[in-house]
Amino acid sequence: MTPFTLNLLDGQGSQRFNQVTRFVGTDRTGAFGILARHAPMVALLRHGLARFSEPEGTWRYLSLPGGVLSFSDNTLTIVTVRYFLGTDRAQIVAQLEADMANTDSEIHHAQATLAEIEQSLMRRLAEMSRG
Amino acid sequence: MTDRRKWLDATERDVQRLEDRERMPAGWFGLAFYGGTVGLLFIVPIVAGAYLGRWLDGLWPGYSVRWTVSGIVLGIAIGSYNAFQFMRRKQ
Repeated sequence: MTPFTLNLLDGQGSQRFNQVTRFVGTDRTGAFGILARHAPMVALLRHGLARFSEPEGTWRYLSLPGGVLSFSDNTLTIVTVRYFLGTDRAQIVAQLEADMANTDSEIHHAQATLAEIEQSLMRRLAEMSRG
Repeated sequence: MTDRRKWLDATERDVQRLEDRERMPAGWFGLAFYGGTVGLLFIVPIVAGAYLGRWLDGLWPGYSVRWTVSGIVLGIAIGSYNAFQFMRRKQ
């Protein structure tokens, strides 16, 4: 089966897969598949799961909160805010939740640090205005 | 509902849908196709073995079914292996 290239882009970076043989995604009208040498197309992916396979037959599952898909010159490009990639379909929801919790914890940590900096700054300004 | 919850729910629903589809019993056409393929994989080596054995038995004068029986037994072994491999891959 002739392969095509898949580019995944989100706010945190990008990933490239050069040997993709099939892609199955879903837009508002339902599920659709893409094979190599597909006609150029653009679609708006909906929230949920997309998947693609590589020559050895393993499926990779892609969970995304919507995104823009475009296919041209045998290259499939998906641009999304954020995506989560996994090979174990049964575990992907749990992994996604864990990943979200991890991100939340990082954000809370960053917010706490920022609050501390702000308080220190305010204290210093108050000291300077008194002195 | 937050976007995050919507994302998780949609992913969960899609995973469930895929699993349901894989567990769903095949339709009549699929079942007939699957059964026919398994049947052919099993039967063809047996028939081929029987014909080969009968031809070999005919090469020597006198009545003998030694090669025919051997061909059938060999065909059963090969046919079973073929069918088993096919079913294992389909799972």
